[in-house]
Amino acid sequence: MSESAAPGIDTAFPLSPEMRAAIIAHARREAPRECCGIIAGRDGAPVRVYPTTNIAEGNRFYEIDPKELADLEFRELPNENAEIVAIYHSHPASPAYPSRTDVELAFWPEAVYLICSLEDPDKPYIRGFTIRDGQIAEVTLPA
Amino acid sequence: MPWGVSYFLMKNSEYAMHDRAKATRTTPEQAICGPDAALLASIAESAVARSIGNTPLHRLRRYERYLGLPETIELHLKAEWVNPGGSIKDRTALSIVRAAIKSGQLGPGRTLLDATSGNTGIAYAMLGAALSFPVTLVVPGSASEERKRTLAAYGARVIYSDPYEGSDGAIRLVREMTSVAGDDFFYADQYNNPANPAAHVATTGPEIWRQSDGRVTHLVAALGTTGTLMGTGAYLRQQGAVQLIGVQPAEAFHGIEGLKHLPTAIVPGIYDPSLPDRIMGIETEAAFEAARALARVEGFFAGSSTGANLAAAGELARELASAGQAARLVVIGCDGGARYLSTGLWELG
Amino acid sequence: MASESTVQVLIPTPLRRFTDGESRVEVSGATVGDALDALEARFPGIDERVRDDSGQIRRFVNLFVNGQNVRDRDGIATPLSPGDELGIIPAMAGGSAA
Repeated sequence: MSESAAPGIDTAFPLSPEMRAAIIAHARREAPRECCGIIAGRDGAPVRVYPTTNIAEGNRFYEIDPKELADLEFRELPNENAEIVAIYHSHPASPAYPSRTDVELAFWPEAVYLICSLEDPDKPYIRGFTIRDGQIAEVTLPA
Repeated sequence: MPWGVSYFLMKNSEYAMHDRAKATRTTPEQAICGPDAALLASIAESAVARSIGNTPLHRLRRYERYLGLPETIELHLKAEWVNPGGSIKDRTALSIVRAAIKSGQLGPGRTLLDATSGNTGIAYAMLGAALSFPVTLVVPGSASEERKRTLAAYGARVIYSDPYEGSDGAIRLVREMTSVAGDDFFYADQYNNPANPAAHVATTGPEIWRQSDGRVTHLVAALGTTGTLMGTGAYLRQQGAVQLIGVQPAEAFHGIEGLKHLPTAIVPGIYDPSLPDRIMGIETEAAFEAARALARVEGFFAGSSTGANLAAAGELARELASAGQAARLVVIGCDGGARYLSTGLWELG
Repeated sequence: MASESTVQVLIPTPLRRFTDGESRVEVSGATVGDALDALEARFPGIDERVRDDSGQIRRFVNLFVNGQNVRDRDGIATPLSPGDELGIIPAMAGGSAA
């Protein structure tokens, strides 16, 4: 199927401990607003974390600054022979599961959607999903 | 305990004990691991690790004449760009890595993490490739294209921090990450890790002492993590009456990559303000001009921090000359000029 | 009347299944709208992802001409010059609401 990303990444995403920590740190810094960013990879392996600007209003939405996204997708990442492998955002006050909004606005089916929950401020956690044609499937992250 | 001179002069075994004690305090499970013998052995076998250090010390006769200095004042440049990763930071990184392996903080599959926009990151990435441990660097989004590509070439992972917050922003982000999951990776923390100055106590200092026939009178070293001045200076101070000169940008907003304007930056934990005899502030343009002059007069193509050191050394040399003093100044040549081709340093014109 | 310009359309990953995997497609057109028409003629179905029934750019799609968002210019009427790059970028958006 043309929508599948790099082999293996569909069912298990190798989010490294320091990338996990970077996303949680970003989420905490941005709270009570949602944070957002992307992870770029090469040959299916995540290699770069790019925190991005959330241009959405209020505390319950995110939209990655389209200018930053365009620069990454069309300029920086092709130059580096890399591609977007994951998109992350935070749910500052709710569980790490795709909301209806997340599903409706999932325009990047090839990417893994990582959601960081700060619902319990002392126990932040991240889960990963693919969202394709309205279907949510969980992607295994390293323990 | 502040990282004073006495601390730098501890024996290697004492460092290891101290590191282990520190690890036990913060993360008990790390100390249990113990050193990974295979990883330690791989340092001894690594061609890259073995080619770090023992760099030449060059007398700059043509540059002395260019400045119009009397024969009694000598400038010597420590050519750190001949290190395999291209900078003095290879020494720092190797020392930090070795200490971390010995203390059990770095082992197979465990990631080394640090905040660095520059040469230390390249050195970690190089050693990670050469010794087979993963490396992730927190880098300001403003880092140059050649930096990003160099890190990618060695296979290091990168997390970007706010481009507007510069290197301090990268340090802040790494600290936040450590507070989230500090046990899951090894935070090398070059700004606070005693193995940073220890590298220069063990290698840079003795080399300079030997190469200058024990006649060095002044050491001129730029301040970034401050490890070079702290470690080399501590060693030289033990050997004789050497004046220790720290070089920083004259202003908070400057274009000398890797240097810190201490009054407005996060002051490194390894910095001991009582050690330097003098801190000189250098304008960005003066640093660039000295680097350009070095290339044209001596044929050494060095970077902007070397330029800052040379500009400070030139100023100092003139003062000493007019006071009628004899001196042998040793100037740290931090890295080469090719790393800054896309910056304002080498614009034609 | 403006003359046609040959421009490069930059195709984002999610739309490359319409372009046989191509990330850059050359089309001709005097405006952004013309270029999208030409793109649709070559790769049927792609325009529906970019414009709605009334021909306007969808809320969660942004178009950039040489890095400048056409919403800050004249939308689909934004004129094109030879060699321009027209980037199509679907939003990365969502949120914890609902």
